[in-house]
Amino acid sequence: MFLDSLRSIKDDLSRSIFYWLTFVMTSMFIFLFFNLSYSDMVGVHFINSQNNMSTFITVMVITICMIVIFFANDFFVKKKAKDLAVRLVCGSTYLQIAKYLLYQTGILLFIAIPVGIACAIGLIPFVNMFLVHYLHSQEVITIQASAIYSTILILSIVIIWCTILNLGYSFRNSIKTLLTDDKMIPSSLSLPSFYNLHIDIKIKKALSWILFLGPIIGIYYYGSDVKSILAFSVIGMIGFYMFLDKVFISYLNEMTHQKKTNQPITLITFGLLRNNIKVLKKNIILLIVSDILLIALMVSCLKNPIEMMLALISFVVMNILLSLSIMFKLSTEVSTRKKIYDSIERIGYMKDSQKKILKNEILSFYGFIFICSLLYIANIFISLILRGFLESYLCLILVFIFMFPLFLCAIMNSIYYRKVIL
Amino acid sequence: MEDLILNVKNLRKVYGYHTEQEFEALHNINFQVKKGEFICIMGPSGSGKSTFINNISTIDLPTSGLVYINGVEVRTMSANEIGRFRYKNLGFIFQEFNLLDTHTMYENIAMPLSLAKLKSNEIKERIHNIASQMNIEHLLKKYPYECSGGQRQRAAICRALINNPKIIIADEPTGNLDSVNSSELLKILQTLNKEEGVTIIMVSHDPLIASYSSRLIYIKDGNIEQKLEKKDLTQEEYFQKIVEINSLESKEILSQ
Repeated sequence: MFLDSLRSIKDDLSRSIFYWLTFVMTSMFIFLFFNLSYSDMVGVHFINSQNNMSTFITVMVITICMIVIFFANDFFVKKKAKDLAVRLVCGSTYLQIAKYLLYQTGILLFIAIPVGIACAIGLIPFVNMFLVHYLHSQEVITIQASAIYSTILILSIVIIWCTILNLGYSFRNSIKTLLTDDKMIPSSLSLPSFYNLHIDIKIKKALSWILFLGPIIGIYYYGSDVKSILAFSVIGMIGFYMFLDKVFISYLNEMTHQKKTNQPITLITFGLLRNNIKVLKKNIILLIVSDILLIALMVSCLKNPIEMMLALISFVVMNILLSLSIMFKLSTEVSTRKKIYDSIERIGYMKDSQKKILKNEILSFYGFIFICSLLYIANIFISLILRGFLESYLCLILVFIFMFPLFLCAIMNSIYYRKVIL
Repeated sequence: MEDLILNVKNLRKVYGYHTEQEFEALHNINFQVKKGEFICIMGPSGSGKSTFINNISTIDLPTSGLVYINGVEVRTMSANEIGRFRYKNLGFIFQEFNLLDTHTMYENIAMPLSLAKLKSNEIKERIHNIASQMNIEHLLKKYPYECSGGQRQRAAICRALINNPKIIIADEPTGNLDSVNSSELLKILQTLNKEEGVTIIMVSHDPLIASYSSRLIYIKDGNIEQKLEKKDLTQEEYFQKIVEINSLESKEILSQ
């Protein structure tokens, strides 16, 4: 079974590398993070925490790491559906299937940990340079033994987490579903019941607009208080969720049904974009909420350079990991698109048109994320700059930190998509 | 010669050309179809039916030989011209329906018209007309995965017929349908053929389904092994003859 697992990694090398890279980055960030949060200046301890805010950030980053691994694992395992189905048909038990997947995860993780820790050690001098020169800190980060233990402990939890995920995957799927790999987009949303009340659609749309854009005005009025920024942002994100469903998706529906039907490339692109947003809206909201939360935390710890550094690193880590989670989920989605492109080719969409559809879809999807996210993030920054809480150069750096991983993920998605389709 | 809609001359298809795995799937096939014919292509698994249908319908290009559709030789066209030719002249119906789950039934049916650059209002009118004929007008805003197999196949037929193609290519169109939906689909195809004069080329394994056609082509090992025309035969007599052709292969295997 071990050799089989190795062969499976080799057969699906590009996916395995993607998955391995996630592990490398997760190990690197967790290790770097623990070195920083365990420093005497921050004072987080694994068992007995001394600093509530830092502990909160640490828990948050670890949770995000777990979420990213969940999406990466999903992306890694889904392609193996047929392989697993054949093994089940041949008489493998669910436990053997879980073991087979666990070997693969274990091998990749085992190779990833040393690389991740080495990368983190390489990064520490740069972090220290930033601490001393830009945040004017008197102290620097040193490598701590407890950080290594904690990293190993967290990564062991990751292995258990992956085992549970994979065991769940093999239990959830019968041979038939593994073979057909049918998936359906949920038609109804898991929102509170008041959301589905029979209110006139125009009122729902208006309410979505108000809830989405209204809080931005609130941020300008009450932006001096961190709690107000958070409260308005939470309302804004509820509004954004409603806006996606009631305004944006229905706008795309209207466009494809009435106005853009005679534009063949837009007709397909809008349909695919609508599908992507339906599938990934929770990821998009999680990205925006996490960014807002960390910006708020950064503002609240402006006077403590180490805590500020902790929040800043968290901001970097979270943006990279959440962008990766978007990339993985979109990749899982586009990996099933070959059939769609074959179908449209039969109708008469030639390769040139297909390339345009692919390019437009990726551009419009990531463009949509940029615009919606920046609508909140940029306004929060402007409000904070106007009040003198943050320097404009730092805000620009933060915007860059937000945009750069997403931009890279858009390129990676585009390359992978091309590989799948063309 | 004038009423020939499809003319295939010396069609050869070789996979893995000039490699160790070289395999000739079709050997010098000659085949003609007149306007308004309903042809069924039968043959055992691996005989080359799908390769044949793909090569005569621009989905794949032959290794050698000529394929004229409506007088135009397929290999003289550029990729873009083939695309244009496809949505103007051909309508496809497949076993797997091949509808896009990411798009509504309306959008799926609209695709060939969108490629033909018709105005939105005209597209809307034509979709509603054809959908009401096929009894799926109430499903236009739904996604394919929200509909039954029969409803999806009707939508696929709507998409295949929406721009009045000259030829309908149907590859095992009843493969995923129950007997009721299968016979309904065949009646639709027969009506289209008899009343609208649409040429139909259909691949099927089932002799009963093949008995709806006007001519049968039996392919074996990449060659046209047998031809059968319905002419004045009743559907039952025609069906019996198709069964005989099909059972010949089994008899040969048993005698060996």
